[in-house]
Amino acid sequence: MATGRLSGIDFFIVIIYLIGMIVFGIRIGRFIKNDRDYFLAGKKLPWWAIGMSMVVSDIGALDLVGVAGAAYLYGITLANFEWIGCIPAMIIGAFVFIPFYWRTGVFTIPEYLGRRYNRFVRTVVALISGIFMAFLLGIFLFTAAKAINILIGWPEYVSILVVAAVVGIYTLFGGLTAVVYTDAIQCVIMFAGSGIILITALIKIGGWGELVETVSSMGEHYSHHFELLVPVDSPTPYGWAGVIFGLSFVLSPAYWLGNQAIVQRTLGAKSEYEAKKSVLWGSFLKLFIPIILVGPGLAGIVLHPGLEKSDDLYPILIHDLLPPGLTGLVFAAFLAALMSSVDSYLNSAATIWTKDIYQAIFVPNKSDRHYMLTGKTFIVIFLVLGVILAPISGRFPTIYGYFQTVFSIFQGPLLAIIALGLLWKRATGFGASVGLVLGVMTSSTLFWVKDLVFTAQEPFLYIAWWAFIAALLTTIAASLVTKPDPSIRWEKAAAPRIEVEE
Amino acid sequence: MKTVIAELIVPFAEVLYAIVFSIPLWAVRAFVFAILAALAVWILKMPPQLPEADESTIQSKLADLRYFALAVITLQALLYVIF
Repeated sequence: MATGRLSGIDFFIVIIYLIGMIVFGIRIGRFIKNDRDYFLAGKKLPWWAIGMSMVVSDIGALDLVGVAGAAYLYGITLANFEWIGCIPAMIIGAFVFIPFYWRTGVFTIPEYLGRRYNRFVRTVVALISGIFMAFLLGIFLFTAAKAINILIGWPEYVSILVVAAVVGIYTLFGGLTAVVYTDAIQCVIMFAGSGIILITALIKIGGWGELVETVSSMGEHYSHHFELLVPVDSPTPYGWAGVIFGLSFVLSPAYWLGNQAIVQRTLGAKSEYEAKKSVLWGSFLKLFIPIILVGPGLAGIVLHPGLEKSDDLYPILIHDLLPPGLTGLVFAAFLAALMSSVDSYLNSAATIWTKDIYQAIFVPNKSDRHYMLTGKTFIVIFLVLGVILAPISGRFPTIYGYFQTVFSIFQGPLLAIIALGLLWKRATGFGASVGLVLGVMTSSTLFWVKDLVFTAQEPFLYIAWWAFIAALLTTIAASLVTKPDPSIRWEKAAAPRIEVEE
Repeated sequence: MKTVIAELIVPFAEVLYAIVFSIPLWAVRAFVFAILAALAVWILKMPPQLPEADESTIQSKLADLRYFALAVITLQALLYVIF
């Protein structure tokens, strides 16, 4: 396993960066007075910061390492996850879903579902999302520690504690405001750091043309490495059918329109216009993400052919290509990528548990300040839980992939009820409840029998598609046999609009 | 039980696999461009997406978010033309 070590100047850069994040979060915390300030940044966030925060939150702990490694094996098709797998969904979200969420003034997606449908749907979605996010924090911390260990050789427990302490302090004190502004800074650092690796690698190879020519001449295995859409029977898990149907039509819209960790920051925009603009800005930035994530993977094919473990590529490139100082910047970029995911999930998990579970079910009618303090308490609980769970999740090597797959079971049905709730007036609470349950049952069953039914090794894209279809049809059928909800007022304007009451 | 359920699904899955394998890659690419084109047409048909009146005194056409979205879609389509 390739590992590098930070020099004095690199350490200095990283430490300044970490201290800067903490000081920034604490200073922002002085302006927070109530739960609206804490969870929605007082609805004062500018579009540019929200867009950058959305994009960088999507780049997880192991993505810099993992995507470069996967691109090394499968080529540019990985870019579909950022392009056709993000941009159409983000544009539709910008004009239809996000303005609607913003206008209703909700704190969370489950809260919207509760208003649109009923308490059962809200509670089920809140519990699944809340539990998933809380447990995912432990896995994020562990995968982050593992990646830091690969990159610079720090012991895993040191990395877990450092990341948890830094993210915990600025998220605890600064709420969503700190999360979004630190993410924006982290976005700049991530682009700069990853861009440096790609540019340095391309200079060494002799340019993009040389890279394409060399890789294309390396044999049959590399014949599809510069094709975005690859045949279903090509030697990759990302054949076109799964990419188009599972990723573009289901998982991507479910993620960009229904994931609390992504949507929450748009709810804190200054205005509806800025909320829309933030998502479009994010979609523009998404165009460049594959360049910095996939590019180094492709360059690695030429610079380091025949690697046994493709995930070792990124640390090897850092080690081989960068001088002291730049290594520190790239390592800071790596920390930025992982911290932005941890802070988003930490903040959103606390929001869901406070607003949809604690306030909605157990302790209603308390002051705004009470719920803000409850949110802070949940952040501490989840952080401690994350630190405890992180080493445990490390004992189960496939737990991250397993958790993602399990969550994908829920994504298709969630998208079906969110979309029908917004686009079809006739959708009822009973219909959504039945659709949600049967959709999850469909995906669970397909997940259970996947080895006997699917040819793809990891068929989560296909499972998500069929679960979405099942939930959609079931919700429509069950809604048509029940009476429409008289409290829903429908207004068709530029984009479909509905008004819902508590 | 697992085998029984799988046996019920497999014939349906085989038909779908046959359909998917028979679709040429050029048709898939055309479908992707059709999605992007449909998105662009939908955006063009929307009313101008300008800031609320009190947000900005100058209502420049460049502030219309539809143009921003169209630029992103065009760049996206260009990438799928290249690769």
